[in-house]
Amino acid sequence: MNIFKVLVACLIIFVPFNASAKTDSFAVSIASDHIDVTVGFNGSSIELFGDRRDKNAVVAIVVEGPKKNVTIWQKARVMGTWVNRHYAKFKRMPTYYNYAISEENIDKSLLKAMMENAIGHDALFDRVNSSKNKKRADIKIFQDALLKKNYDLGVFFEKPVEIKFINNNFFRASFDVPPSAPTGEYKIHSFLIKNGKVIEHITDGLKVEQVGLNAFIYKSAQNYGFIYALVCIFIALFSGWLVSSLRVKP
Amino acid sequence: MQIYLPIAEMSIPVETIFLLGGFVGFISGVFGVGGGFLTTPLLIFMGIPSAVAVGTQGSQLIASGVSGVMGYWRRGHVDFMIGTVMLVGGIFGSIIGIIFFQFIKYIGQMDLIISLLYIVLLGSIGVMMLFEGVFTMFRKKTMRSEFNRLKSPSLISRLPYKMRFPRSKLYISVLVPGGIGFVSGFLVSTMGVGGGFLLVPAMIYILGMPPLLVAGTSLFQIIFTSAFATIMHATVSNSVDILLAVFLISGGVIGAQVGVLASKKVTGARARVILALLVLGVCSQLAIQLFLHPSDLFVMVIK
Repeated sequence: MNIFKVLVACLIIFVPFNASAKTDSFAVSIASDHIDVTVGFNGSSIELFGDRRDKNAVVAIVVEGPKKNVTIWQKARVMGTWVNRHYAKFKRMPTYYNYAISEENIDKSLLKAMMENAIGHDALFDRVNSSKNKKRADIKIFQDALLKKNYDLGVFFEKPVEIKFINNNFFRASFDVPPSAPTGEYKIHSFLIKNGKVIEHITDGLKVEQVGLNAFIYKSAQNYGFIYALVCIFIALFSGWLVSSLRVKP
Repeated sequence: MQIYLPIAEMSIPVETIFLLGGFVGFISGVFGVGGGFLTTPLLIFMGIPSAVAVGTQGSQLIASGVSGVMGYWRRGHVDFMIGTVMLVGGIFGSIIGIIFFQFIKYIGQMDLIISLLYIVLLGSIGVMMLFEGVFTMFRKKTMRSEFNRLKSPSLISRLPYKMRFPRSKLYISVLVPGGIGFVSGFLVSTMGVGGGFLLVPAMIYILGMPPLLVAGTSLFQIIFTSAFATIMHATVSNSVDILLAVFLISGGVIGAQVGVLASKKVTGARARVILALLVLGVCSQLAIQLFLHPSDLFVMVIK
């Protein structure tokens, strides 16, 4: 009897959830789940395709690279020389971060949803644990510097990526990945937002990694540092010997 | 053609590295110097992380060292005994250098300290070389007497652990060549320079070695010290980029050949003046970056 009650309770709880997932109101897919960094790698792009049923809902997509701790140093004059003087540490900052949003006019409720879900560059600092003992105004200088550094590197874009609608529902977006983009696991978060509320959230993964010769060199250096060094030395010894034997001939 | 460097983890036009290697090889061919003092700063100017520039430079020092030492070896102009004692000092110097390197990286002042070391080293050597070169150019009579070795100062002759070095006809404390080797090892692992321009005068004036043996012996020592530094950098800080090294070396091989041919047309004193100006050029470029108001006040370090 008890088991029956539990089963009924389960059905009541889970059926609506299943039903809502099956409505297929939002779907996003990446064209490829990996970017190969080869010897000749000169940048690539992440292509996304998606479909939303409700044409009034806003689509937002965030692509973020592996997270690392970042220190921003500010130079100051010490005895005539410019040296790294003040710093701010930002814990677990994405090393690549770009976003796309289908709405140009961002109102208060949309902005709130963006901040809550870490969409947009300003939202990065809201959740990121930056170093204490610094006033808000001081930390702002370092936040701006961090953004500018990443803009210059090409791993953050100053403007959001455009979401192109092919018809009312079907869309695509393309995120450039410059050669300076770090390797590692990337996360793609796709949101469907309506009336300032996220109604759908899909997370996908993508790997940016060195392949072929590069991967071999990278892994050898990481795992077999000693043998790797010996190979470097051998190459150097051999080419040095080659030069001297060429020089003797004439 | 862009090439992605697996350890530096950045994309760079392969022609630039090749040209840089060729240019430095040419310089080393013309002037008979290793050229490390040019490669490391130029790599850093190109945007290669300082750690990778210094770590990788060791391989090029080995290549240019081997190509240089073979000739001296054939003629018997290498004192292996002193070289080995210097090498022991060099290994200690490298270890201290690597620890120092990790320390300045940790406190976030690596770029500043490497720049300062370069400015001091290049500035003093450049100025000395310039004076000496100009002096010789204008006075046709070479001041032979000045080049005779100085007598070992009394402090040096009083040092313990004396040893006989028959090849150089010296009876001297092992601490002296060991100490000179130590400095060289420190330079290789922190700055990626062999320090030949420092070693050679030190070996002549402080050690009192016969000048004929000096170049070969210092090269012999630099090869092994650089090899040791390469192993340390590869295992401790993982900062040796083999692909970068291959392109630098292959550029250097060709450059050195051209340089040797060109060296026949450049005479001693004039060559030294040109080299001195080159050294001072790199030095002032580094100094400008340090002393002028930087266009970007911020530096980003990712860990």
